[in-house]
Amino acid sequence: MTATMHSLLPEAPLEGGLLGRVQYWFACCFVVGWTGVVCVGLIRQFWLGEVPCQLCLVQRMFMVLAALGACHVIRTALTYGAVTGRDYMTGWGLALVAATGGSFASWRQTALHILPGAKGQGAEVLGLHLYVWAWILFQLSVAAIGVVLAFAHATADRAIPTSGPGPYRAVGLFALWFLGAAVALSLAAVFLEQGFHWFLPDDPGRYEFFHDLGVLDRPAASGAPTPGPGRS
Amino acid sequence: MSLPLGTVRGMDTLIFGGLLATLIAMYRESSRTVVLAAWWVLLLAVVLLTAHYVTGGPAPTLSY
Repeated sequence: MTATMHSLLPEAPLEGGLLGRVQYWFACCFVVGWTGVVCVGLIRQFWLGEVPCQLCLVQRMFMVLAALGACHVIRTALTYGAVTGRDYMTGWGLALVAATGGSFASWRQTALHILPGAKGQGAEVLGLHLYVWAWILFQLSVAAIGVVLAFAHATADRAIPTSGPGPYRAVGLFALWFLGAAVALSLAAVFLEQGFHWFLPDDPGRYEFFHDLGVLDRPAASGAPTPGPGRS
Repeated sequence: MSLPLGTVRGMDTLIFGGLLATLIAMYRESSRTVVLAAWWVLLLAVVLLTAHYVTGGPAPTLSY
């Protein structure tokens, strides 16, 4: 990877300037923002006792996949002090694909509860359910990535002061660690929810892990999940 | 215990584990090929999981 990067970066000293830094800051905001959205879901899960459904978890996966695309930009900037046009396109391309998939999943869940009088899944936040917010944010992300890619020719190959201590390096590392902590917590939460089953039930209402171990034996709210490859 | 620990399984759990592993690989500056391959494999897994969970076709029975 190092040899490839050196062949892509121009040999002349890189030009600095605001444009390259703006794109770096945007990548940091993108990762922190999506991680924050995942954390809102986790907080509601543990604070309000809302057990996330199948599509909720799928949306979280797409959120993390999108954030990983921006992480590629941050990681490259932290390592080389610059991001080539190739790495911008790779990182934002990954994020765009994931945002599109997440937009479909959140739209699909929204459409399930779109009829007048439908109760919806979970409580509302600022008047909208979480999956509606996710749909809006995925769509905004698609638009934002389009803008970033449109100006990538002017922001690529610019020096970004990430080599030494300072806000650039600190914020970049914070974004990576913040996402890592959220994914690790999500991993633990989904393991407890799924237990030793391949798939989640249609309307999960409990943490199967404790029931699999026999710690809790109250009946499931909507039926226990089907073990094995069967459709839940 | 109804299931022995050797039968630990769960698609959602495995995918989140893969996401964490991919992030760690990226953080540790693993090769570009490894990171990108892991990302695309995970995307495929999430798409297949979505297809499994979305029953009755991609669009619910509404009039468009």
